Amino acid sequence: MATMPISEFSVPDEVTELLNISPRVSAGDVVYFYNGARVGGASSSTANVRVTSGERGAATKVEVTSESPEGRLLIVQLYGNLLGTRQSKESFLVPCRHEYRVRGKAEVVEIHMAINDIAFNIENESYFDIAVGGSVTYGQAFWVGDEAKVNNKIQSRLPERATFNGLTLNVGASLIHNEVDVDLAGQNSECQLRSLLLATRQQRIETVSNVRHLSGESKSEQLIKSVVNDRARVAFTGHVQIASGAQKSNARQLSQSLLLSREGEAVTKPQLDVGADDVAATHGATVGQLDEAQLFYLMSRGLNRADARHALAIAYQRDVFEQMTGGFVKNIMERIHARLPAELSADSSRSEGVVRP
Amino acid sequence: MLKISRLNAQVDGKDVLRDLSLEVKAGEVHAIMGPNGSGKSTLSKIIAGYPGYSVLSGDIQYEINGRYQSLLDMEPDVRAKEGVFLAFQYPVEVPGVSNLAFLRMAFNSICRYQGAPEMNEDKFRKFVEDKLKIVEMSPDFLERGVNAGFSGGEKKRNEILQMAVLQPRLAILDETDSGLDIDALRVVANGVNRLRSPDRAIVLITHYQRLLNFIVPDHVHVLAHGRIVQSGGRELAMELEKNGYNAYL
Repeated sequence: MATMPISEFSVPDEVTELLNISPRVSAGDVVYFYNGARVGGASSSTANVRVTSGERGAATKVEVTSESPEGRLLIVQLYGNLLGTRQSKESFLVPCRHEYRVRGKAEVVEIHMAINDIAFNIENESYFDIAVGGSVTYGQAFWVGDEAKVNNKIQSRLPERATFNGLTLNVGASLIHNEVDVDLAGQNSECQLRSLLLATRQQRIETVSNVRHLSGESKSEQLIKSVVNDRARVAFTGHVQIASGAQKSNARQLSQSLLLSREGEAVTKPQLDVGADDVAATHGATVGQLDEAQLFYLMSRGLNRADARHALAIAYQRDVFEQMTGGFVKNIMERIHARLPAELSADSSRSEGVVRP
Repeated sequence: MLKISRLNAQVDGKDVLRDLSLEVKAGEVHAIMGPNGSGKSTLSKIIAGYPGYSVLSGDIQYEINGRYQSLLDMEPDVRAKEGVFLAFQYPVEVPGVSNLAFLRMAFNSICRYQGAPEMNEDKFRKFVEDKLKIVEMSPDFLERGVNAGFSGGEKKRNEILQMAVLQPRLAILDETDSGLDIDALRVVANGVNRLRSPDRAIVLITHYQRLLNFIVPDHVHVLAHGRIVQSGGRELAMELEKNGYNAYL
C-alpha cells in the first residue's frame, strides 16, 4: 500500500480546527502522530514526552513523564492514507503503547482519529504508573471509521491515595474492543471511569472492565452510557472484585443504554465478586428508549420529531461530562463530542423506538 | 379561531370525551371548569396532539390564515408552529437540555416555518431576558436544564415564559394554578394577563374558581362526564364556588 512519506505529512486543517477551538489548548501541549510516527508538536509542554520507536509497522512507545504539579498533554494519533485509495484490500496494523508516569497531578487526553476511511487495525495500550498520592485525569477518544478495527487496553495500578479519573469516548468502527484494568492497590485509592459509546450502522463496541479493590477504603465508580442506532451492538462486561482485605471499600457501577432503533442491541453483564464483609457495592443496568412524555413536550413547543429525538439523545449523553473534574480534559472531550456527526444521535428512519405510556 | 364539534375520544379504551362541542373566538378568554376526571386534561392534550389518545369521531377545526383546518391530522410540532400552545399541568423535566437552548430551538423552528428570520444566540438571550420579567424569573433559569429540579411554582412560571416567547394564537392553560401559593399565582396570572390580546385566544382549564379572580374570563363552561353541560359568564364560576359540582354529577 502506498502511503505518503511522513516527512510530507501535515496535520489536516479539520484536526487543528477541532483542537484549536478550545482556548485551553495551547500549541505547546499537543503532540501529533501519524500512523504511529511522531509528526510534530509540543516543545513547551509541562509533560516530558519521549518517543522510542517510530518505524512504521513496529510498535511505537510513547513515554510521558509528568513531575510537575499540573502537567497536561494532548496526544493526537492520526491514522490514514493520504492517497485515499481504497482499491487495495490490504489493511495495516498500527500498534502503539503509551506509558504515562505521573508523580504529581496530570491531565492527559489521547485522541485517535482517522483522517480517511481506510481499512486498518489499531492496537493501543495506555498504561499508567501513578505515584503515591498522584492524580490523573485522562480522556481517550476513538473516532475512526467503518473500516477500522480497534483493540484498546487501558491499565492502571493505583497506590495509596492515588486517583484515576478517566473518560472514554468511542465513535463506532467495525469493531472496537476495550479492556480496562484498574487495580486499586493502595489504601484510599480511587478511580472513576466514564464511557460514552456511540454505535451506528453495523458497528460493534465491546468493553470489558476489571476493577480490583485490593486495599481498604478504596473507591470505584463506573458510568457506562451507550447510544445504539441502526443495527449496531454494544456490549459491556463489568467485573468488580473486592478482595478480602479491602474493608470499607465502595464500588459503584452503572450501565445505561439508549436504543434509537428496533434492531440495535445493548448487552450488559455486571459481575460482582465481593470477598470482604464491610463494603458497599452496587451495580445497575438500564436499557431504554426515548421518553414519550419528553418527546411530546419538545414537539408541543415546535421542534419536529427528528430534532426533538436528537435533542433528547444528546441530553442523555450529557451526564458523562457533567461530573468530570479537570477542565483541560473535559473541555477537549466536550469539543470533540460537540463535533460528532448528528447521525450518531439521530432519528433512525426505520425505527419508532419510543416507550409509549 | 377554534371550533370543536361533537368530539368523542378514548383513553385506554375508556370514553373520556362525549360529543364535546366548543367554540372560541380570537381575543376571548374561556374557562373550562369541572370536577376531577371530567376530561379537562384530556381535552387540552388532544388539542395539542398527545399521541396516546384516540379520537373516535368529531373534529377540532382551527383557523389558519382565515381558513378552518382540522388539527387532528397535524403532528404536535406543526400545531405549535401554527400557534397552538399548551401550558402543561405537569411540565416535563428534560435534564441535559438547557432552558435557553430549548427556547431558542423552539422559537427558531417556528420562525423558520412561518418564514420569519431566526435569531442568533446573543439577540435571543436579550429577547428572552426581557420576557423573564413578565413572570419575575431570574436569568439563572436560562442556564438550567428544562424544568430539571424546578419547584412546582417555577415549572408553572416557566410554562408562561415559554408562552411569552413563542407568542401563540391559541393558548390552553391546563391547571396552571394548581400547586401555586397565592404570590406565585398572582405572578403567573399577571403574566397571562399581559399576554391577553385581541389576536389571541386563551382557554383556562381549572378546578377552582380562585384563578378566575386574577384572570377574568369572558366565558365559563362546566365540563362533566366528558361534555360541556353548562356555559355562562363569570357568574357561573361564582355559583360553582358556592355550590360545588354536585349539581352536574
